[in-house]
Amino acid sequence: MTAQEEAAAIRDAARGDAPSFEKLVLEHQKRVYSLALKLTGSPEDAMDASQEAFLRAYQNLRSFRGESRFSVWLYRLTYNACMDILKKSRRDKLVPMPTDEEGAQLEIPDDAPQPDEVIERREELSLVRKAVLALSEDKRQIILMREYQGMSYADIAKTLGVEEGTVKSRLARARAALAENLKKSGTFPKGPQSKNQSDKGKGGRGHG
Amino acid sequence: MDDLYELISGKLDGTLDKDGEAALERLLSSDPEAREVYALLTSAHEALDFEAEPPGELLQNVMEGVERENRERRRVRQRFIRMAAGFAAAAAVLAVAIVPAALRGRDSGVSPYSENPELTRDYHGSTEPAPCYNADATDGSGPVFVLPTDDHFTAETFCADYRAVLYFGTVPEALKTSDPVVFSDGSVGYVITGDDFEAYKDAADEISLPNPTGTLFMAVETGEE
Repeated sequence: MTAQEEAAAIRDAARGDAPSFEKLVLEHQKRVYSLALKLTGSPEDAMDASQEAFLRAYQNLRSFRGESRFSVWLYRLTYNACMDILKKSRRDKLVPMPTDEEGAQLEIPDDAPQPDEVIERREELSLVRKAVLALSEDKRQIILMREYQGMSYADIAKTLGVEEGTVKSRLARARAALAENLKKSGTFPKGPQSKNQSDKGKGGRGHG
Repeated sequence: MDDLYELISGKLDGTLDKDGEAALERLLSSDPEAREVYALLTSAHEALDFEAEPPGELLQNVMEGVERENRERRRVRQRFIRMAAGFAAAAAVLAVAIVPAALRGRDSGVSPYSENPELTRDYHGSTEPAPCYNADATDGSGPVFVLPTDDHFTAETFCADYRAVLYFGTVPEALKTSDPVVFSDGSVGYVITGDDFEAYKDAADEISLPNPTGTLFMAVETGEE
């Protein structure tokens, strides 16, 4: 979907045109759901949060002024929906052991991990989430934008109203705090020991 | 350590230049703590580097929610339209019925005596008709009367002699203190003094005249109730 197509879909959906909103859902549902899954650690909660985020978006489309990108606005709604669910449930943030079905919901890359690896990834994800949620608000915010939402430096700078250089330095400080939290967890695997200097195909998340 | 985090951050985001890469390599090879931090952050970065395929029901559920929202909006809109129509109908009733009624009431000059200061006016010598009062219409809803005229009592001559004309459906016996006067339209009047009227007023407790003593009034019987 091009920017113009998205703008047209937003405009029509704001007038109550359901098919136009359906296009927007199709365009963004994967990233919204992924973000929700990373934040909640539970497929059920991720599903609920995603639905809630999209419905809030639909209900508030008229207030979307296009000052930020639609995706950024949508991710913010998703984050809020996830936080609401986490506060409501007050459940143990540890990810439950996934069933095969849940495991299958993860997009399996070419070097598809074995079931044990899937479980390990979920445990890692849970520890990272706990460490991120323990950050101060400003540090958590920038980590979420970069690590969870994959926002570019430019988009983060625009969203926060700062220079890109400031984004870099804030990210560095936030990562330092995150590393401290991970150290405290004591159980977080220091995975990249085997791929220390590796660039292991993370192509999709350049700073853009 | 600040440099370390700047370098690791740049590495994770793919923004390090060659000099940065070299500086990071030097730090990692010489500092175990730097290696630990790098390992932690790289693991965290990779743990978050995935996209999950949403369940098929997500789209379906969202669109069902959208449909519910649209139904609710239609319902609210229809309710608003019905309310607006109700207000419009009410406004039409006001315009057609109530306002003209109010205007008729205002034009008639019909009102309870106690609320009508016209009785104190001095119409002597006036060319205007004397004010007409309906004594039976203390709630202001009585008929409108027109000052009768005949050869002897035109409006002008009548007003020259009487301060006011009081109209009654049936003139109270207490006010029939004079011989009756028959007007050209068949109605009957009685001349009453201010004192008589005051006595009647006190008894009836419904008429207020500031200073009626010595003033002549004409009580006219209309025969209407």
